[in-house]
Amino acid sequence: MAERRLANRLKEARARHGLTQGELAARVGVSRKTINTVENGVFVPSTTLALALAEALEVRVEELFYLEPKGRPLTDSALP
Amino acid sequence: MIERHPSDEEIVAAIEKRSRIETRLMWTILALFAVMIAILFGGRTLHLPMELTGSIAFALLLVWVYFMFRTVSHLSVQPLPAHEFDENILRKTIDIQHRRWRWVLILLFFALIQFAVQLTESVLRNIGTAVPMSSEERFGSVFFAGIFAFFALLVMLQVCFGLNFFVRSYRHAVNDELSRAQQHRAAMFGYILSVIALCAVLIAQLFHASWGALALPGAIAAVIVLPGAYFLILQWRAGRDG
Repeated sequence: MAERRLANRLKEARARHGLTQGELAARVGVSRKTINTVENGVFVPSTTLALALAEALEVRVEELFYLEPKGRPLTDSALP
Repeated sequence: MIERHPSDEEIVAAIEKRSRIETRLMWTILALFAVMIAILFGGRTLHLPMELTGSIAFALLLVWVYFMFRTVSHLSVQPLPAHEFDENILRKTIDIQHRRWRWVLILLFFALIQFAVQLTESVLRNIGTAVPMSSEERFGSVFFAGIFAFFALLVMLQVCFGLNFFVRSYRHAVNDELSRAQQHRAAMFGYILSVIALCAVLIAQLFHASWGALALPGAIAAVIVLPGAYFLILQWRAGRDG
C-alpha cells in the first residue's frame, strides 16, 4: 500500500478559537515549533498529541486529522 | 500580611521578560567573541604589534564588562519567579527554555572549535620538535584536552538525550516529541559522521605517521559540532512559517 499523507485542519480550528500557535502550544504542553510543524504537515504528531490537540480545541480528533485520499485532498466541509 | 501566590500567567510573563534580557546578553557575548577574534586575526594579518591589538581587545573587554555589569544589575532587581521550574510552568515556557539552551550549545561550539585549534597547535609543536615536552607543558596539554573532552561530552549528551539531560523532570517537560525526533535525526547524522571521521583519521595516520594525531582534535570537534549545529538548524526551520 502506498504511503498516504496525514493532513489536518489544525490552523482553521485554532483560528476559530482565536488562539495563536504559542497559546495553543502552552495549553497542550508542547513548543510553538511543534504546533507550527504539525500545521504545515512537516511533523506527524503522536496519537497522544493528536488527542490532546483535539481536546484543547474541543473537536473530535477525526475532524482535526485525516488521511489524504489517493486522489485530490478533500475540501474542508466537515467542520461546523 | 499574606503573600499572594502569583498566577501561572504572571510567572510566565516574568520569565519572558527575563528571557528577553538574557537573549540581549547572549548576543553581546557572541558579538564580543567575533570582534575579538577579528581584531586578533586582523592584527596578525596586517602584522600589527601584539601590544596594539592586545590593548584594543582589552579596551573592548572593559566596555563589555561595563555593559554586562549593568545588565546583571538590571536582572538582579527583578527576582527570579518562584515555581519557574515547576512542570506546569516549564510546559508553558518550552520555547524560552529551548532558546536558553540554544545559546549554551552555541557558546560550547565556539569553545570546542577554539580548543580544537589550540590542541592541534600543541600536537604540531610536539611533533615538530625533537625536544620532549616538559612536565608542565604535558600537564597543560592534558588539562586542556580534558576540558575539551568534557565540553564534547556535554554537547553530545544534550543533543542525544535532550536539553538539560541530567535533570529528569526538566528533560521530560521541555523535550517534547518534536525535539526528541530532531535529537534522533541529529544523533543519526553524528553516528554517520563519526564513522567517516574515524576512517579519515585512520587513513591519514597510515598515509603519514603524524597526520592522524594532527587530525584528531579537528575530527572530534567536527563530529560533535556538526550534529549539534544540525539539531539547531532543525529547530530553527521548525519555527519558520510555511
